[in-house]
Amino acid sequence: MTDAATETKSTDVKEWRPTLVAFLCNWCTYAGADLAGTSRLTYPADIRIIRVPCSGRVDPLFLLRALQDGADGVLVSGCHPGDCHYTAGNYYARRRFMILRELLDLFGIDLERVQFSWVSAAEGIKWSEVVTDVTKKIRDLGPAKGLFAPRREMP
Amino acid sequence: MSDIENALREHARQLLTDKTVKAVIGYEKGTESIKATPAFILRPEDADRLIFDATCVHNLVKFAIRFRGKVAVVVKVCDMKAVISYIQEAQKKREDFYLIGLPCTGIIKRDQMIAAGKTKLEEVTAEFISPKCPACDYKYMLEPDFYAGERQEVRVSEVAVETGYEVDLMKMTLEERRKFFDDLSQKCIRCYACRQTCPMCYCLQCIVDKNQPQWVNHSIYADNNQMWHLIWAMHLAGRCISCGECERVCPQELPLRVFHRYLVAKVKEHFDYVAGQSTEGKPPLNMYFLGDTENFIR
Amino acid sequence: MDKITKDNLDKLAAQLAEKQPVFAPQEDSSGVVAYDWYSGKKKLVWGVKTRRSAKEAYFPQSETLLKYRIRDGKVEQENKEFTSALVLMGIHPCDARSFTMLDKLFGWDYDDERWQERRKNSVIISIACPGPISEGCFCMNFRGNPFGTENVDVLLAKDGDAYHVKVASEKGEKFIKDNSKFFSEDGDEGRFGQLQQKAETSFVNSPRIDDPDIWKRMQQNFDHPIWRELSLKCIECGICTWLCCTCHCFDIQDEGGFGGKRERIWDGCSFKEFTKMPSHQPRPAYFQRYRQRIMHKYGYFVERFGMIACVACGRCIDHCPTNIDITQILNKLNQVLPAEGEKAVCNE
Repeated sequence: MTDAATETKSTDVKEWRPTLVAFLCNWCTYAGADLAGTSRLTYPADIRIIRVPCSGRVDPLFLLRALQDGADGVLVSGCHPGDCHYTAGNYYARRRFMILRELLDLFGIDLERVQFSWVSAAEGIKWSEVVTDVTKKIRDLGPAKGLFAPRREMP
Repeated sequence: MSDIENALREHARQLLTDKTVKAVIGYEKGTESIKATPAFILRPEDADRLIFDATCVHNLVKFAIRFRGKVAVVVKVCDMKAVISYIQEAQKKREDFYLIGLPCTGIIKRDQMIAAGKTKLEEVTAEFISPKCPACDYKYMLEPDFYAGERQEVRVSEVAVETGYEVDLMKMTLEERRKFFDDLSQKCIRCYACRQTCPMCYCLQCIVDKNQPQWVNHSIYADNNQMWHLIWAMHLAGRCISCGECERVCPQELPLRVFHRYLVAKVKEHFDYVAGQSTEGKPPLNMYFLGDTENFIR
Repeated sequence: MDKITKDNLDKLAAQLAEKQPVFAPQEDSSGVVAYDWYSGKKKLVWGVKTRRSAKEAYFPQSETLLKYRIRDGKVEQENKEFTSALVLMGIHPCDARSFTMLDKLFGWDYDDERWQERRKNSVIISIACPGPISEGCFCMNFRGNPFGTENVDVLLAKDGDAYHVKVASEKGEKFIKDNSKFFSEDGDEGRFGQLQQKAETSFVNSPRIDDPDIWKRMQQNFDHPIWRELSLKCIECGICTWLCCTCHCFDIQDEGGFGGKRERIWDGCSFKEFTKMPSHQPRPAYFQRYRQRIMHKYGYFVERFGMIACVACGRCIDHCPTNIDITQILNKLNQVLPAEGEKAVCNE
């Protein structure tokens, strides 16, 4: 960006940036994200990464808690089926998240805010594409309001 | 006193005299109109307290798991599913139970009857029968050790799914569903009666009671209440036996079965599995299939 | 004496709510009638047994005490203000009576500012019960009265579609004077007494505790095996605690990380985690917790404050999922425990 470009960009109005929380499996997607970094690929910096040993470790509670605490979108990413470092963790995760999606849909929570992907350690490019895509999607959806109902306060 | 009650009392007396079981868990008359209450018969002379009629709404199986050793328990067809689940999930063995079956033709919705001013069992009509009963096929999936009364014939129920849900959630829009669950979350007072009475909730320490870290906050604002219900539904996914106890005990009369029943239907759709039918096998979220759907994963 | 029509009562509630919070029984979307803050969105329902008790007006189930934020290594704290000028309308006399016990508790080892300020600055308009309004009610058989005026400022007695008004305190007198346009002259002065008599004599079939003053016997026979039998049915939910007029235990928890709030929330002795400590759990078994509940309400509270922490509203009897009846429990204890001074039973 040139100096002129930064000067015209307003610093008074705070532009909304989505808050994305991502749970990445250590052996595949985290390594893939690392590869994206070493390859100097760019993708939006709105994503906050939490490393877990396996996508099977991801409890639906983590996703719900992230949404309650203010995340606009959540992403879970693991190894491709057949490649799990722990043999079958991602298979259990696959089933679990399918049911979680059904439940969230029932509760009226937009499923576009909860995303899943398989990204392997060699797929740096795919990782940057996934993040760019998901960030754009969440940005288009806007801030997550009313996912968890407003509080009823005492007078 | 009916034939069922006669046979039940006689047999309970026998079981306790012979010391075949430590206790007989059944029903006895409650202290308010059209109310029954769980009875723990420990001595043969108390066996005459046992009753059985449409007011016997409770699922007694969860009481049975508190005892060590063999316990006799009166089970309706819907309660038997809890027994099967405990055996399947390796919480109890078949030998720990002495199962007493009986012909049940339906249980009442007491609160609605009282609200309509009906305080006698003779006044019960079809609208006051619990929604799960018309769908019952009268078939015990596990053979009871004793059957009190005349054996009921297995039937094909007229209704394929349970009745009584005025609200069909999936016909509503996303915003309407959101509002429905907002409303539910606002009313919940987190007494945890639903969790305590649910036969499938037997964890020694529930996730909400863990405070290092505190995953689900205890204050009763709607967002915390909703967290509780979402987590509970997920922990019961593939395990809920649709006994309806949660909705029966809720003091705020929340429509709790709606989301559990929804997941029961979805699990059947995706994994062709219904809980409480067989002591073999595993709940679906405890296993996987190589060809599972992943159309939602990039 | 004055009179007020039901319509005017509704209008009075709506008008009062414009200036201050009004706590009144309303019907929610499931048809459950419970006390709530008046917002105009729910229908007011007078005279029906409410699901929960009136202590929520002064002692809500969750209350923010303060908000905090950790910034630049410093903690910024903002104490939460609270409104104390409240109007409680349409509460049952048993609910009002329970405030006597709670007043003692919230002024005992420290002065609970929130409770005391709210109690001081609020007005209580109670609607008398024409008799037992649910099967569990037994106030008349237990030191209460369906037309009781303990802690009440104005008492209303239903007669057709109007209410006879009885002033029960100076605050009540002032309240009626300030809102006189809703009240009218009562032609029938003796009617109130008639209604009261009819109500008081209709508790014949209600539950009854034979001898509630058994706390010394309970203490002397702490290890009696009867407790194990009495608690077998309890599923340890929190319904009796949450619905009870006099239950008051609470926990204070901080919610949040670098920013958050401190909440005071109800806690119940039936829950496992109530007395759990890092070192150990002093009440690991069901019967110990059930024994604690009974002994606190009918024993330790008596020892400390001279009154039983129960107003016989009967909500616990009506809503317990397994129909545990407190009157049955106490009568059984009365039957089984040895008399005071007799050889104590020690069998644990």
